[in-house]
Amino acid sequence: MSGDVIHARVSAVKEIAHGVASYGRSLTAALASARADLNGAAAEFQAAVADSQRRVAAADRRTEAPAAALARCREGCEPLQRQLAEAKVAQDEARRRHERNRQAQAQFDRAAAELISSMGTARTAAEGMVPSARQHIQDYAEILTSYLKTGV
Amino acid sequence: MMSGLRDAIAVQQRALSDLKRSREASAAWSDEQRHRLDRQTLEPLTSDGQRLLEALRTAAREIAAAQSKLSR
Repeated sequence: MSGDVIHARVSAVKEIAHGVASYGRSLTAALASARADLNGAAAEFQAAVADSQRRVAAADRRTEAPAAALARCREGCEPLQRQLAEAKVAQDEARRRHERNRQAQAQFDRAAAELISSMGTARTAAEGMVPSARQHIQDYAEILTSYLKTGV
Repeated sequence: MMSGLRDAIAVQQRALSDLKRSREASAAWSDEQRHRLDRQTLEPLTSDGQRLLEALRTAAREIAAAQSKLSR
């Protein structure tokens, strides 16, 4: 190998070493950032579902009193009927919202599970390949250093 | 889109660009040792990284859609 070729390869080795090291660090940062976001979002969905569940329970309770009163009512029951009808409208709305939240949470859970799986695959692959690439690069750097020192 | 996922996508894009630039800048090294390095590590690393980037984008879209359906 001529001196120019060796120097070009030394430069190449440095470029690759830098690229691989930088990639390994960036991948770790990207995975950590994504994971933190998923955890935050999971908490957000759980809180929304728990809140809408509480609202359903409250709406259920608000129908009980007028329903019981109406069952006992014998005359002049229209106000109670209106009250119960309004409470049932609110109850239906609370149930619809809760169902929407549950579906949204299920959609999030699916997306998060797929991403976590992809992140695990990428992490495992990088954990194997980054050190392997480093070793290749180090081996080659040693060959080049030997060339530079001895010309053999 | 959630800020952490947006950051992750940006970081992963930059990481892949850096890796690609390094590979292009090192084109002078083209012997068997380099081919082996490419085949065994750099190519799979790049492919996996690209797949992760796509997975991050897909998840970001799906999660944003799910968040838009939430009723708080």
